[in-house]
Amino acid sequence: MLDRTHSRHDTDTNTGIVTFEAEAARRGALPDAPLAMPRQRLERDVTPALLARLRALLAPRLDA
Amino acid sequence: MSRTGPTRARAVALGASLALAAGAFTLFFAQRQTGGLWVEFARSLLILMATFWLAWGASQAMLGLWPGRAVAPRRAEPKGRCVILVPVHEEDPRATFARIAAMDEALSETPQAGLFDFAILSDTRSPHGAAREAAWYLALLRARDAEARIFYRRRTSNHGRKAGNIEDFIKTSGAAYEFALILDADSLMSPETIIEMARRMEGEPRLGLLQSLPGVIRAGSLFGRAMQFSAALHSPVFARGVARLQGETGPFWGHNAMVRVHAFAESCALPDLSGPPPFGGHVLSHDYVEAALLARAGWIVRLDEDLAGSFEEGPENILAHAKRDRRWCQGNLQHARLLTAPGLRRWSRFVFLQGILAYVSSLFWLGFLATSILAPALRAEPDYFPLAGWSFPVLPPNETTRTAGLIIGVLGLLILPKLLIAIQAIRSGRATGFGGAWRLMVSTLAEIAMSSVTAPIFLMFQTRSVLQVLSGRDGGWPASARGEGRLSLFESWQASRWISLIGLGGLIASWRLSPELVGWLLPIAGPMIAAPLVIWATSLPCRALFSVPSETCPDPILARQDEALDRWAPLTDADAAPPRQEPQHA
Repeated sequence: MLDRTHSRHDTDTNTGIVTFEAEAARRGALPDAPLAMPRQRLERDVTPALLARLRALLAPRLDA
Repeated sequence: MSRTGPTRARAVALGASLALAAGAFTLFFAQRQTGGLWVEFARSLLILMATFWLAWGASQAMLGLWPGRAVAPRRAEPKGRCVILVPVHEEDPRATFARIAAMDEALSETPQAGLFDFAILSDTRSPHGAAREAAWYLALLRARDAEARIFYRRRTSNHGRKAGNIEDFIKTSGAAYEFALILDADSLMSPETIIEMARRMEGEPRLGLLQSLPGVIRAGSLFGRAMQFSAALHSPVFARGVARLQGETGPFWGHNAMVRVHAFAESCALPDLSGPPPFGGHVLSHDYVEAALLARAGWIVRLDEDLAGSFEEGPENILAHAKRDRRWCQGNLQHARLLTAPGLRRWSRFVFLQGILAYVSSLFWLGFLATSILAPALRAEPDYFPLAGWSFPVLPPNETTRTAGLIIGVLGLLILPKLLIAIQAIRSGRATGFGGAWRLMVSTLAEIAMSSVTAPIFLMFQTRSVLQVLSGRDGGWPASARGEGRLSLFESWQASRWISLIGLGGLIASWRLSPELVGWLLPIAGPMIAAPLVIWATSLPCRALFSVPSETCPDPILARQDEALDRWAPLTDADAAPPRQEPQHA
């Protein structure tokens, strides 16, 4: 069935028939009201914390 | 709705579960056979882990059964606009859009009609599926005269799967709405429930996410109806227990939940995890993570189990269930990466751990069964005269006694909560919706019998899923198996012959190594050997058992969905979207 109009083009230039995918995209268009979504941090990068702890541990001894 | 302090509930549930697990360990280890100390220790440890998991589940039911003080949630007349999001991925558009038509029609008859829009968010990739969606969307627009109220967009990239799909919507249109009701393609909700959720969101400005408890509807097979019955009878009690445990750090199950859009936007953009799938890449079980992130940002995440009129459809056979469970298994095990995520609440971390345990516990049980069969071969010969100068033999503890004790304990933890829930339903009058007290008890016993037979089969499917994930196999993103009901015996055999072989192998090994265990192993090995038959038989239609309130006193939204489907039934895909002549412009 869908072969009848199953085309990825917006409009058949010869017949003027609008494919329903293009029509659905046009008539279904979402409201234009963007909202920012800042990317969250989920993985803990342990290296800087570990290095800072090591430095705190070693620094007094090295100074001595 | 009842609210008790979650700290006390957590302490009680954790304390009881740990005590039972420790008790099982002590009793099992104290009755150990001579020799093979490490094997006995390992078995006892496996019993400890598995008992903890069972006791934890039972304690949630007990908490749910415990009478609590009813506290009405804060409510206010909704003013903010709400979008109802329907993410779809290779779904049947006729069935999905009939649900939308039903909900839109029902909402349009309420005074709050102007507050609600729908957005169908498609991640469908197949050209044929995309074309069908577009055609049926146009049919939906015609049927509901819904332009600029029911939106449809199909993404060009599936990045982030469902979570990425919703994120894409919020980045495009999120500022237009105060609230978003997130649904699945098979979700159906009554307008009263949707509006009540908006009232509760409006009334509590700190509420970031409100989860309803979806009931399963429209099951037709024996397996599907047993699940539907269990969801209707047991889930509200378990959910009340969960709500008491979780308090304001509640769950998100990915659908049938309302979010405050700006809270969700500021907290829930998920990053890809480093490394390849299954442990890296997109966050698969994104809902748990989003709940944890909302809680991390200080928002309340709450499960209101008293909200009726929230529905979904469930898998119709064991194979469809196992397919969905494979996806959930990978998602839950991936949460191991997030146990140390910065800033999460302790309870959120525990919830991740709980999800991991839910799947890993299958390895504990299988490990226990395997070591039990092998233990006699690893043991030293018993010493009947261990004490010098003592002329009477000292007999080693009887394995049968231990096994019987174990089985009674397991059955108690699994069955007792179900029986108590049935009794409470009869006493409270809730049994009427299940066809009355007598039918409720018959259905309860049938459900217990059926879940006992299917448990070893699920144990095997789950074990396979865990091992696949641990060995690095990514399950991908298969389309959901909806409406896949009746299976042929051949299909069942093809999908489960490996379970039969393992069951048979285990029974033969037990007969050779520890014949005294054969009788005790039969309730596990028997269903495994008969897995193809069990899978086939439980996929057959069944009407005699498992009456539920959604059948005996159905919500009107179900009838509306039927009417929408009936109206569309004679239409072919071509009728849904007849070709249209575009006006010719000069």
